[in-house]
Amino acid sequence: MRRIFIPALGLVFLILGFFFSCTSAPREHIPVREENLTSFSKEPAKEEAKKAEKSKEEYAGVEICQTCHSPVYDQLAKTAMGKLFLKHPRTAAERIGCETCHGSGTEHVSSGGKSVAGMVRFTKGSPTPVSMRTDVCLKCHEKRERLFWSGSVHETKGLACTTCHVVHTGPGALTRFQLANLNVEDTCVTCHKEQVRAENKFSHHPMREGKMDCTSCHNPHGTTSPKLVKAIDTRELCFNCHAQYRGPFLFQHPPVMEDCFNCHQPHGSAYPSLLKSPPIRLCRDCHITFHNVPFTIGPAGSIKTRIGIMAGTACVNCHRNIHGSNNVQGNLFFR
Amino acid sequence: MKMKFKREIRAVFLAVMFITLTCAGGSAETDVITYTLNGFISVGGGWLSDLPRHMDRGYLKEYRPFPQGFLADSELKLESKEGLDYYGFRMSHPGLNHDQDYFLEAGKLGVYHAQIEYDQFQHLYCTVNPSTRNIGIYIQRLRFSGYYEPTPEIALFAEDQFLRRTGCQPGSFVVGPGNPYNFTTYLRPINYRQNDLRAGVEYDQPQANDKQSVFQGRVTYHLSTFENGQADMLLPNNANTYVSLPPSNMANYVTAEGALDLKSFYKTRISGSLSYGWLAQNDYTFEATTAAGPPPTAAGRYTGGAGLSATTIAAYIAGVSRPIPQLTLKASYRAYDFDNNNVNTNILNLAFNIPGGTAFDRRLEQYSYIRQTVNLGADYRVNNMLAFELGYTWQGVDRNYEQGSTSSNSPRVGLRLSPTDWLSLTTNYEFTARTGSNFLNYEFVFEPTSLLTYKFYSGSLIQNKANVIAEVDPLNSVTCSFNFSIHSDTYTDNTFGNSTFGLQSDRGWSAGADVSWRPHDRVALSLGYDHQQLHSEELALAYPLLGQPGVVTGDSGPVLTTSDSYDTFIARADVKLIPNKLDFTTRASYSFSNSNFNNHIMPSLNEYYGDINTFLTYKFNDHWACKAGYIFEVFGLSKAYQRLYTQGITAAGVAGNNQGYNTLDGFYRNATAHIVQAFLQYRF
Repeated sequence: MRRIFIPALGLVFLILGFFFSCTSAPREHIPVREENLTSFSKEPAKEEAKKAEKSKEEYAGVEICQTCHSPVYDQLAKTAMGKLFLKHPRTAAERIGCETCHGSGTEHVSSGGKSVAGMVRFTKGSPTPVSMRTDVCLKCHEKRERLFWSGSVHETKGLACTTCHVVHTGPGALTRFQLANLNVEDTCVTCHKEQVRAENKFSHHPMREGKMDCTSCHNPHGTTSPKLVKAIDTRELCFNCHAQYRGPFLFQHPPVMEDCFNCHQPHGSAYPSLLKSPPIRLCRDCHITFHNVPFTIGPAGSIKTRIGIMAGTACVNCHRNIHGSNNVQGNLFFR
Repeated sequence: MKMKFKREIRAVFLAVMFITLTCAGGSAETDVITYTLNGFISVGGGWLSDLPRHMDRGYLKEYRPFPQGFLADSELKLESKEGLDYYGFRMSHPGLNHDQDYFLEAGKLGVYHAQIEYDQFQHLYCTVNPSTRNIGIYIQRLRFSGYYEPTPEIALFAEDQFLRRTGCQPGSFVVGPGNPYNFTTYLRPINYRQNDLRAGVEYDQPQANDKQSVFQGRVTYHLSTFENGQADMLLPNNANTYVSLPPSNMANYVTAEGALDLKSFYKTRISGSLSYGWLAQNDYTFEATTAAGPPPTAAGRYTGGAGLSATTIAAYIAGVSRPIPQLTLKASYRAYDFDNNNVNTNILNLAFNIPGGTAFDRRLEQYSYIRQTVNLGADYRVNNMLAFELGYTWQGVDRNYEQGSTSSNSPRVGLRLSPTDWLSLTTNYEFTARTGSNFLNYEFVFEPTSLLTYKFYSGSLIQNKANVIAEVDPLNSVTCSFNFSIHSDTYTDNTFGNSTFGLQSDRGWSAGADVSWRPHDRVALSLGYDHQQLHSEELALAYPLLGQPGVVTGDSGPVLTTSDSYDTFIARADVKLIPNKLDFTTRASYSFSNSNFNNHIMPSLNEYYGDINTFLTYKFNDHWACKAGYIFEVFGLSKAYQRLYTQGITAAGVAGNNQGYNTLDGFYRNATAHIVQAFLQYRF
């Protein structure tokens, strides 16, 4: 019973939502909503009209573009941007349609499609400089997650918006984020093979199981923090899901307090718990073994009997609360 | 057997019921009133063909159970005909415990969007302990996010993530009197609740023309709470020993961000952020007692709240300018200040970091630090084919209470080349020189006979990093990408009189290639391969011998080397065998890793994982389709390593005392899984 309860509840919710929308948003109200959208533009009506008149002279118009590029037009019309630009423009700029992004196509039209001079083209290998292509997109999209695009590492490396996103056609054109590939990982793997393929390593975050993707931790559009992580600092990122290690603890372990990535490799590891190196060696990257016990070989080369205790998580077998302890006797992270 | 049949019957019954419902709505819902319905519903089942022992399949089920039994997937989108309003519903694997996902969204283009998602997954640990079938954590996640734009200039946004973790994970505890180097395993209870709420408002000044300067600003509040339903536990078979579990805590952050676009001033954009955070932890601590353990009464073992807190300040400011179209100049400053308020806190008469105090006091290691980064860069585009990048980064970390400071300088160069429209090449090289200084010699205080070590993450270092990315499209139907990266870290610390114990070097390289080929409109093929090689050296094992001065090094020589290699292959094929009728898709991956510890006691660690996911889809008509598939998964780990985990190693090859049930997430048994799935799909 429980197995069908949740999906049934979901469907009921959807149906109720649908009926609610039908009753609260009848057809007659649509023009009103459209007016509301248009009124978002603060430009006075006269100026709007003047701009519209001017645009008629400067631009070829959507209908002309559609004549030769109907497959692209049809595809664009299905996207969120296409719906706004082609059916419900909110501003004079949006009303221009295709030429809002591609620039005036009058010369292109008058040359019978042969000349593309002055037009902004977004395809790979386009002569239009990347910065100019990006500027076109940022005119509307430089907010929210894109606030720090300027100066971000992806901008620096010469990536255009259309390196990862598509506007008209492509596998992800009809999805919400209009990615150039089927999903986030397929998009990132083009340049970040080492990081994305690490999801196949023994210890990994649930990426290949579909419970996370690259954007769970990174904002590829730019952040104020290093490595494009979605937190104010790399140290704070992991606490988005693992706040149990945030503390502050009565007894702190300095590398934990400074950065989780000192010991963990978040993209994947051959060792348990996403550790950077085998547990038996990780701790000794910093610590000399104090114990008067040669765990593997004795001074004379004889095998010792306590090697087994260094299996598993090695030092952490005993120093279990290694992320920090709240126990007064936890100075060595035993308890 | 009876149960099995019952389960199958139930699956079929539910499937049929679901299909009936689908048919009833399907004929009329494609176009309803002022809305259009898109998407699909598919129902079916999965059968696992082999039945290895439950515990043996731990790794393959690490994050989700096998997709077997009744299965359904759905993705529906309801859009108003004029295109502005939309509602969406998505679900996968309803009813499949620990792998269900439900998603609902609603919105109006350019005005608002809201979504809510509930999903489950699991984290199973290895289950070598035959008395415990399931060691794992079960995670439930409820996420909400949305925004509302009352005007194009203003956006209100909020998101919330609630995480619930229950179950247990492997734990261990040192046992015995004195310093026995022995431990026992137990199951640590997990009962966590975490909630992260973010809400804020953003203002974006509209731009009337290309030359107008505009301002953007955003204020966000983030509240994060973590609650552990069980903050301690009494160890089994250790009547007086309590272990602290992660304490409940909370954090508040207020962040103000903004950007100023100065279009008329060399196309300059200045952006910045300032965040203030307050972290608090007031869970109870245990009474200070002797090593024999706290008092036996539960009420007597607590001392009250820890009363610990810390504040953080994160600041960022960046300027990007384009004085001429070909040149971009950048400068940024970033700081993260962790201000520890617990340095002078007294609790149970233990003073933290008293100058000249005992080693025990010092090992509390409470300190504050600030990490600052200055970044300068210039990017010059010679023409459409060639661009250069020059950059320099300085980073400094200052810690108080004799914890030392670290400073690094990193110049870098980059080149972007696009000689033709079918080839692009990006390459970068970065050099880093890091210096660590003024560290407190903890180890010297604690163990006078030991040589001293340093901290690899803060000590002196020389680092070289380079990478190349190439994209080649030799034919319209072929796309290739290649990656190569190499790094070399050499640790050169001599803080303690040229004592260089600890990590010595870390070197590695990786190379990868992907090829996609579309020989025909109906055929898409892709292949990928990635290889990674890592090699590290450490000088770490040193221990004093009782009654003897000096230090002994061992473990196959003073330098321990670890060599890792990883290989990953992927292959995909999408073939439309009969256009609009029969589609074939397959995805396969295989990865292999080898870790060599260069030590005759520690066996090499080999792991492999492979999967194949193949489906045939037959479309009866525009609405109905059926889909059948085969999923194969395999995992393996080197036997010698498994023995190390299950038995430990003794001179006689006999299992150690209580290390045999060491279930610390380091080991899973070899396993394979064959799953057959079949679905019936209705597309709107």
